[in-house]
Amino acid sequence: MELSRRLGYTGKETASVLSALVAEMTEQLVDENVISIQGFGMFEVKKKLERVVVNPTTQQRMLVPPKLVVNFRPSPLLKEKMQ
Amino acid sequence: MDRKVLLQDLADGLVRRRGLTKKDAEQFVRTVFDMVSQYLEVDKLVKIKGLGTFKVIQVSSRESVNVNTGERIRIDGHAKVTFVPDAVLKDEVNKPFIHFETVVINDSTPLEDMERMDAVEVQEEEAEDCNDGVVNESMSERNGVSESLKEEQEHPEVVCENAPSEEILVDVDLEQPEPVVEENPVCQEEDDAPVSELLQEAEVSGVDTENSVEENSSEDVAPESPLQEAEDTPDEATTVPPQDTSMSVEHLQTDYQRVEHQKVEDLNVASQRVEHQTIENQHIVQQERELSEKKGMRITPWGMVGLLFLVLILMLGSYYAGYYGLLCPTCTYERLARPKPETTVKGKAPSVQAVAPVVKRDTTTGVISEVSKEEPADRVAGVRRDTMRQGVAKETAVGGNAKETAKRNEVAKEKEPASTLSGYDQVPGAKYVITGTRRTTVIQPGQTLRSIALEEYGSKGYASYIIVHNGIKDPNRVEAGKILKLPELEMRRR
Repeated sequence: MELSRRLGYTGKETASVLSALVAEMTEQLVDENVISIQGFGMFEVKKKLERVVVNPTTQQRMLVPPKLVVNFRPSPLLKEKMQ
Repeated sequence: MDRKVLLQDLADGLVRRRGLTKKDAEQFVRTVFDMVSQYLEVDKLVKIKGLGTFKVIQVSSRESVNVNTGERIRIDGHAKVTFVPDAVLKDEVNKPFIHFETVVINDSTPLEDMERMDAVEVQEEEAEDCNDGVVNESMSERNGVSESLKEEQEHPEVVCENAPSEEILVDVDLEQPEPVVEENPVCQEEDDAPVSELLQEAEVSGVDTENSVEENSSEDVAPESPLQEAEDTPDEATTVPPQDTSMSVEHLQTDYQRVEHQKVEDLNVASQRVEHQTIENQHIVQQERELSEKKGMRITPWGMVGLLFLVLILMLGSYYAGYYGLLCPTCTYERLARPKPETTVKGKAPSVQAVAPVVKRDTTTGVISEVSKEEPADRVAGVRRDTMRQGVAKETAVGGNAKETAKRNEVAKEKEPASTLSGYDQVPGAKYVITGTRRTTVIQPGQTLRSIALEEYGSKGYASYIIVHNGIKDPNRVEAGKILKLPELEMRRR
């Protein structure tokens, strides 16, 4: 990723700005905002409800707690590109 | 919340954080994502530290069935972009639920109840994201308790009522000195005084600690307990030897319940009666749990704290169960119908008891405790339910048309013991009780049950009462010309 310096930044600068970007994205996601990048995809936070799972070997039933999960949806453009 | 953040907004964030120019920032963000997609194409895997990993996965072609037409189709293999969030991001996003852990469920725990309970739990969680201890406790408690249905009914309430944490604090203050006072004259004082106010409780607890000092002199001093009793007052720590702690906690429980008992008596006689029952139930449960938790409690002070929470939950449970029982009388009626016909031999006992509360309020409590000694537990439950029903019935009688309901009760008691309170089928969990037939009507062509309900009661929702009252099997197929009884409804009392 450090090749982002095709922008003309030094590697150090790039790393620092990138970490700032990641921090910003994290913050937005924590606020449960949807991050939508044109031509790339969408990051969104989804709430997973708790559920009961069964361990197939021990038949033990477990209650999995609810959680918030980051979900990424690639845009059609990106999908197209990957073909 | 749920705002859509675009690339520009991210760039703005960068401007704020790093002091880049807006143009540069935007350029940077755009380039980053461009790079990601570019490298994804080549390397199939791009990792950004702190954010996560993008990966291209090749999906092989597979057969599938068109859901609508049922015809077989072939889905071609394609590349799929997946994103696995970095642990940092994952934890950050999941912060509100971070203290939840996967819990093993006992086999005996019925699922549907569990789900209801969990819903409540989630609510509580959202309301205040502390107190994970309490939540976990209630979970484990739940597992232990699952065998008695009645108990389970109460528990969702318990969790609900835990929310005001002030209350918990107050209770903790109160209960810590108490175990020492067990079977003391001070206990009597406590009972007599109106204990509902915090200040007074504080006073009482002060007295208790004095008393405990007295006891100190008479009892052996056991020095080995300080670690485990760390939470309690110092003098108590020396008084109670470690093997007694479980006992003392139990006493504390009973003591507190006695106090609570008095409290409730002032408020409401009926609810007190209900509480009686729950207290006894909880005794059983408490003992079971005591057995299972003795070890854990001895090991750490945390175990001790956990147990205190547990006890608190139980206390609150017994306290609010009174309200609950009154809130939802149909629940009890429904179950009532089952045990009663069985009790042909013991049937006399309930009927005697059923009369008792009407005659004298005070005697009922005594009778209940007596019965509980004599009869097996489930029978007792049935009997208690019976008395409770009577209590509730009496209340409604006092509140509303007294003679009518009372008379109907008499009839129900004598003729058909299995019938419900008012002699009519009730809508389970509904807001209103069907107390009679208001009038009858003939269904006109074009009318529906809902439209009739709308006309008669002002809302379509009342159709369910009509359905129940007329015993309609299939509400979607009602013939015109059928004579409908429109039920008289009465607001259910708390």
